[in-house]
Amino acid sequence: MIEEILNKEKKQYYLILTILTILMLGIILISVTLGKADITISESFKIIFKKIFNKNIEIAANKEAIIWDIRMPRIISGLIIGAGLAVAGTIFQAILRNPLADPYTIGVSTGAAFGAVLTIYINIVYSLFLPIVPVAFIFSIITLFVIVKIAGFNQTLHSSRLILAGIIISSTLSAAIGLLKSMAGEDVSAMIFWLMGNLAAKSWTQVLILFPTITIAIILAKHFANDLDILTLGIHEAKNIGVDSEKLVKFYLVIGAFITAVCVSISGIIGFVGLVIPHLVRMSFTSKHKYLIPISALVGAIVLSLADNITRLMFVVEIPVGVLTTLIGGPFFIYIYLNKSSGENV
Amino acid sequence: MLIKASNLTIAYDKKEVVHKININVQKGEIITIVGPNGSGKTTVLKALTRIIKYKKGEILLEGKEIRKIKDKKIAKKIAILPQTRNTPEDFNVETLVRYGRFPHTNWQGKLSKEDKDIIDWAIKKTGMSHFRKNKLTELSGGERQRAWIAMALAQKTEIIVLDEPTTFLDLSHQLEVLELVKNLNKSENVTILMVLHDLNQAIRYSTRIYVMEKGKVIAKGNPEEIISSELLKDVFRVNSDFYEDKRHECNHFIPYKIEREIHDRRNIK
Repeated sequence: MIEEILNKEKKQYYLILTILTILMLGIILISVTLGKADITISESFKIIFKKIFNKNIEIAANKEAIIWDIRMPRIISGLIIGAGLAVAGTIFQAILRNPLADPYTIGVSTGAAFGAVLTIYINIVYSLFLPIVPVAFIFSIITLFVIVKIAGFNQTLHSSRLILAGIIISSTLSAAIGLLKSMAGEDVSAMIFWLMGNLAAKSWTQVLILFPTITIAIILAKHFANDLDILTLGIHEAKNIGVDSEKLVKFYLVIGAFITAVCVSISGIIGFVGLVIPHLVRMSFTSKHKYLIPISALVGAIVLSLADNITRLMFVVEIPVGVLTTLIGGPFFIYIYLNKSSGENV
Repeated sequence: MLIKASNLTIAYDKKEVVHKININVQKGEIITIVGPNGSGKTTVLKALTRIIKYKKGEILLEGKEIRKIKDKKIAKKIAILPQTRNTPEDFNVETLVRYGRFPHTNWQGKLSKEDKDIIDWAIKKTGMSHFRKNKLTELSGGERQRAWIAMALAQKTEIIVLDEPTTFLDLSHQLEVLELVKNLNKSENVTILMVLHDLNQAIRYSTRIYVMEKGKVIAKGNPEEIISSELLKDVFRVNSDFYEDKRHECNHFIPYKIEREIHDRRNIK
């Protein structure tokens, strides 16, 4: 009896996985043809064909640049960041055992934001061109260390302590960001644009950073996914049946924070993908993490790239994708919260 | 000797709550730790099950320091039923019981035929067959308790540790759980270590009793010899009458009055 159910679930999983993968590939192909520049669909496909198979086809150089060097990296970055945020959200909801957790709960993202804003500020004041991404990344990692230190790394990492430490650090850093913003005067717009989160102006360099790091992190996350299921019993209960829950929580904390740090450093803070997608998958399919992680990754990728298409194409002035995801995600968040508190019988 | 705790001292931060106690558990025994609230019973169990770290002394599991054994290895030897636990919302009984096999499976968590048989056996043994597919949140307190016991059974361990397994349960469910424990001890030769509040139940079901007060073991041994009206007066501040429970051939007592002296002192406070 158990066997049947497990097999059925497995079949469903592969089916969903296949459908989503096809959908994702479809979205890549369609998105690449859409845009404000006057390029036909057949031209777009020709360019992709040319680049991938290294064929010699006559195409205008500026069109080739738009498709291959502007649209493609942006679409792929969006997919990877969407996947990364969704997986990080799944991880944080599991290890913090809190359905309201997301990649930004423990404040790593605010660390990245502070790093980015600081870099922009220094660049403005001293007329430098310091790169934002590495500084943002370094600051998010520093933030992680500080938070873990506050929560007490050598003890059992209790979720409430982690969340509390995250909130404290987040609000302190937010204040610091506010300070920098007010000091920046008229140049504040660059900071605000970064903070709102966007996928514009991504190049192949960013894809090269994103792809290997996020892929490896997601594979690692899936590898120990069965233990994450057991963790839902509670940290002590999991230990009682032989899961080294302390080590497990720390391992996933580092992976989740790493994914968040990479994504946020590159795209800024794109809200709610990491909160909503894991819930969506959990409610509609399964709460088993070995399925939840890959499917959330794909759904996250698809949702973020759809959202990015909307911001790119539907508005006269391009709005940051983070604004759109938060606009849609906010009401969804409230919906989950209300459902959650009414369904609780503790 | 299955478990041997010697000179065990446990502290929460700086505050010492258990002072240099010795507890031994032998194969096939039903050991019960009793004592008033705050005497340190649960703390001792938590140390035995590595939820809190002890300060001094040692706990040996089959002669090996428990802190040096891997979690998975311990989980093959000791199953634990904690006192309070959260109830995962989307778990059904079978999923929970399946997790009991975790220590015996490899990292992929694939279940063998044997694992599945054990799961079926654990569910049947605890009378949960009808509730197999029910969610934990749909069950009553007694049923939920049995579901967790089924998970502990699925671990197929030599020892089961239960922390106040009858608290929050009504009379019939209390009896049910304790009879189940006794039956496991008899038919499967599972060693039991538990904390109970009801002393009469402790007398009836235990082979040996440890009485704790203020972080110390103040009496231990055969329940008939240990639980006396003097001890109840000293430790639990009650006067009581003892009767013979002919059916179970053991003592049974009824407390009738709170010790005056203590009572007064508390009033003055």
